Amino acid sequence: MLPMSSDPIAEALEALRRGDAGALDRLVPLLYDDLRRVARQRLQSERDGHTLGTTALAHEAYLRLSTQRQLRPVDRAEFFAAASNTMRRILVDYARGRRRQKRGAGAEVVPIDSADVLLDDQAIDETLALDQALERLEAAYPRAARIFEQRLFGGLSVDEISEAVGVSPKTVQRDWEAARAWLRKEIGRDVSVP
Amino acid sequence: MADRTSLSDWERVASLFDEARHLPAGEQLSFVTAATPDAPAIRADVLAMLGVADPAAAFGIEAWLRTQSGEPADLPSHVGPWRIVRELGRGGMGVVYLAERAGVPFRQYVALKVLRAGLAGDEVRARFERERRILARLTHPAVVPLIDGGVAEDGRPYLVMQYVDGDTITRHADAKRLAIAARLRQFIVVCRAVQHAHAHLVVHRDLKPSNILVDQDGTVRLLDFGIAKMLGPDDGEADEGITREVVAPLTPARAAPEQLRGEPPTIATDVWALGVLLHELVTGRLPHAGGATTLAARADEITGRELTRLSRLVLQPPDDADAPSLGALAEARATTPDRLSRFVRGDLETIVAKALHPRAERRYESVGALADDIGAFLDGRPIAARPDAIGYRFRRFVARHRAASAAVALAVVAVAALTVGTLVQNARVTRERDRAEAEGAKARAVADLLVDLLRGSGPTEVGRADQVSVAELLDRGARQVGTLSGQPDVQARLWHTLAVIQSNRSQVAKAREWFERAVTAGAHLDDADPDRATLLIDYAAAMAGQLDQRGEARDLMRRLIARLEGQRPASPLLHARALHTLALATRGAEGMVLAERALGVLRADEAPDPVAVSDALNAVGELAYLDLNDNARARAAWTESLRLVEAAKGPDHPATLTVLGNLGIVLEDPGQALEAHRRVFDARLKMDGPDSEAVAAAANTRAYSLVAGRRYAEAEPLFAQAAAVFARSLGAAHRETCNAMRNLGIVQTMQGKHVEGLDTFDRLDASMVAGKTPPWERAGFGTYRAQILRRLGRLDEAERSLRAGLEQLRREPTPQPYRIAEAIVELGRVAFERSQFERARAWFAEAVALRERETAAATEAVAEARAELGRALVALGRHREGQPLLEANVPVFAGWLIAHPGDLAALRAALGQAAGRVSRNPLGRPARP
Repeated sequence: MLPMSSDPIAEALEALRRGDAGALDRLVPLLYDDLRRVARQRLQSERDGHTLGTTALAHEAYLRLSTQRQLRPVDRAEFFAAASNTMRRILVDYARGRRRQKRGAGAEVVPIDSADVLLDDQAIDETLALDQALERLEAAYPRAARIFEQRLFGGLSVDEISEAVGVSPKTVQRDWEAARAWLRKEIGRDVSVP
Repeated sequence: MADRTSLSDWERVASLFDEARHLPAGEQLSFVTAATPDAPAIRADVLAMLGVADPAAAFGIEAWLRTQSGEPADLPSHVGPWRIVRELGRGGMGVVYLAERAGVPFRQYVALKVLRAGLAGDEVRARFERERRILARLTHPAVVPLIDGGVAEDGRPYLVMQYVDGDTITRHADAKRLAIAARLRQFIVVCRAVQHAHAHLVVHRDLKPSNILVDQDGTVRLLDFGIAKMLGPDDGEADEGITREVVAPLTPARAAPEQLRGEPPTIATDVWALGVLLHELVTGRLPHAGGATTLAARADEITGRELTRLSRLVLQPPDDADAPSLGALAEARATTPDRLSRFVRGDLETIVAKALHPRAERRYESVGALADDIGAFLDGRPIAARPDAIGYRFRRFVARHRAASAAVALAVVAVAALTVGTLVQNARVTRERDRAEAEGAKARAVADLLVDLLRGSGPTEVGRADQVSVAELLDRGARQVGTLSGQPDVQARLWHTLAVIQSNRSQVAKAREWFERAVTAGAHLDDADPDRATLLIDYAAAMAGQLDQRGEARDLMRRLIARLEGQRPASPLLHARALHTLALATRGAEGMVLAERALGVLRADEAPDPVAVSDALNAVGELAYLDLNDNARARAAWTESLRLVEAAKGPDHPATLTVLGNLGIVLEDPGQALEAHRRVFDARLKMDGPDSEAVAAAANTRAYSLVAGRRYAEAEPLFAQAAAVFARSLGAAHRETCNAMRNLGIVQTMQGKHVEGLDTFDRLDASMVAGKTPPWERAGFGTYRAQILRRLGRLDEAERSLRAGLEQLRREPTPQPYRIAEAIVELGRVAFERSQFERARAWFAEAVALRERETAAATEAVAEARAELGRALVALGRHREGQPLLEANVPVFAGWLIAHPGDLAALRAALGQAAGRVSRNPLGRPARP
């Protein structure tokens, strides 16, 4: 038996690395709260109101998290991936919440913050459309989706993705461009990193 | 979590998209379609990502695409924008259709050739496109122009040419019963068209009657230029270790032996193919008929057996019962077998044999030369039976220069009062040649092209070939190179070659201009690319020989060295060359440190390249001798350099001779020095002939060693010869010519032939005036002229000339102290002869200060100034100061080989009985490359 870790995040990462796919599902909720908290703090102090202006923010957020948790280098790749995925979910959840709110369904606004300007109507639609297109990309070409997610939602640099995914930076750049083009044809608009 | 299929699918999608998005919009569809015959889903994705509509289904070719066989089962309705009318024929390379442009109101028939070979891989496709663009530039009336081309929807390349309604050249000639003369005239047209293609770097590779059509008007038209190359492996990039997936089409019965052996085709390959065609046109049969069943056996068949003489062949009944009879063959040529045999005997069969020589280098050096000989035969003029046409001469010239003959670079910069002369020639040229040799086919093709370009095409030029000067040839070559825009690599290489030749000929401005062009043409290359680095080094080496360009040379080399040192693994040869070139541009002790570093880099290698080490040692020798005044060190470096290069290249190799010449300068025994320089001279004479620049250079050096033995009378005619050759080939005002003239004048006056000497310097000055030589350059030589005027007692003229000269020398952008000191010493002597001893003392004191400050000044030159100062002091009555100066310095000055007897006598008179002779041998100053 492997020694159990007292830190559930470290434990989940360990499991993820052993190939336990379900570990990701355990990991994301664990990260979710932390990330959301960081995101909220940032947005409150710097209210620039930019749609998806979250990449840098997310990056900072989980960097702070990973530092706090003394992640070993081998965990970084998985952690980055999981954090990117988490950030995506945060944003999508938030967009869904905003939409329901608009429709009058009321209730569960994802309490990301009090900054209502964060996502306007168009941004909500776009975020949700992008999420769905990304799911289709994931079904067809998983690696492309992973790279795209890490770059856009995770705010990772090409080099960091290269390390996380295990392909050359050149390939990351190429895949990113190709994934963007693939998504462009799906959602009819360009997606770029701020 | 990712399944492999998806991953590899994504690889295809991403890479296809990545490549396609850099293509012009019009080419994306065909590219993507060609790459995805098996994966419609990927094709659809990529096309959608590119924003290109996928019209595959709209093309009739889809059905064709799905057929399993390599050939379409049905006639496609369209290929690209072309509508297929009917099939014209099919052969080894593919199918030819008659087609017309769809959707235009007028009818334009074209021949559309769909090539059999599929274009697997992006590189192959890219090459096809590249070649197509080159072919599109061929504009010769006999070359059928390429109208369009691309990749069909099924991935096979297609080419669209003008449709020629004609018959093959051989069938046409037989049908029209053309006499041999008429056939030969058509053959010349074919040659000129091929020559045009060669000038554009296109080798046909598959010349045969079915590619040469003649229409009803008798107009000859050539098809399929370069197509074989498009489909063949790329010679420049072919990796021997990789199996060649695409085999270049070739017709064994017509292929040259080197082609059969799998060597890359060159101009010589096309010459062979034309020889086969000529043979067929004349005799109706193929040469070397045999039963070989493999390519190798066929190659042996050709090389192992002599070509049957045409005059005999046309009388030999064919073995094959189905072949036309002798009578029928002759009849188709409007003659009889006997008359045909007589007609071809002699010149014509000689021409055919030369075109069909099994060894490529023994064939006509260009297609133009072959055509010229046929023309001469038709006109009844003598044919060029021996390969002494201008192209051959030029090839030899190029080979010589690229190879080694730095002798041209000669270097006789006799310095400091003829402090001496010469030679550190540089073996960099040799390296250039070795590298070129290693590159094999590519380099050969370039050399062939150069020859071809320079050869010109008009028969009138052959007549005056001998009068065409090297300079003219080079200029003509330069004009031709200028037209090759669009092929920057080749252009850069040719400019480079021409610039090195000019640099070796000391044509500084031209060399620089051409180096600049080479640098510009190759600007797209990384500096660490071996070709590029070699160019930069050669350029810097040329600049290092010019005082005012050394700064630029240093900058260039420092940048290159930084780049090379950032390379892993760094090439020690390039690195070392760059270092020793920087050393030669830096000079002095600092330069020596760099040269030692170059040696260190080379010796760090397990098996140091002996020739490269020899090169670096040559530079060490030059710096030791010229800048550090350290003859012993120079002697040691040159001795070792010579040992290495001689072992590697043999005793008569130009690079060996170069180092030997340098070593000769510092050998202590005049007899040995003389022997060394005699050996260099004799070898050069044998190699290059009496009128070559190389021999002139060697003559100059040999003359120096004669001077070293104080054999001025024997040296005089050699200097005169060198001056005459240089004047002819480089121009009367060229630095080499001027130096040789100056040396001539000096040895004349050393023998007391003052009138002749003055005449020499007067002629020299007149040439420099005519050649617009800068005034300070003229002033440097003017000092020697003034010296003679003084000896002739014309003191006023001498002084006027010296004062004006001194002013010019001080104005020189990079003033040269030793020249200034020379003029000042001479002014002192004029003052002394006028009994103006105080003034003389002042001049001499200034000269002593100048020469003492200049570390590179020869000891003898310092002694000269000090001794003269002593003489003036004695004349002023200051014996106690003057006598020790005289005693210490007169013997040293006396050892100087160009210490004039008159001046020496004056000093000795001043010294009284204290004179002595000390023999030293400081003859030459090595010249810079």
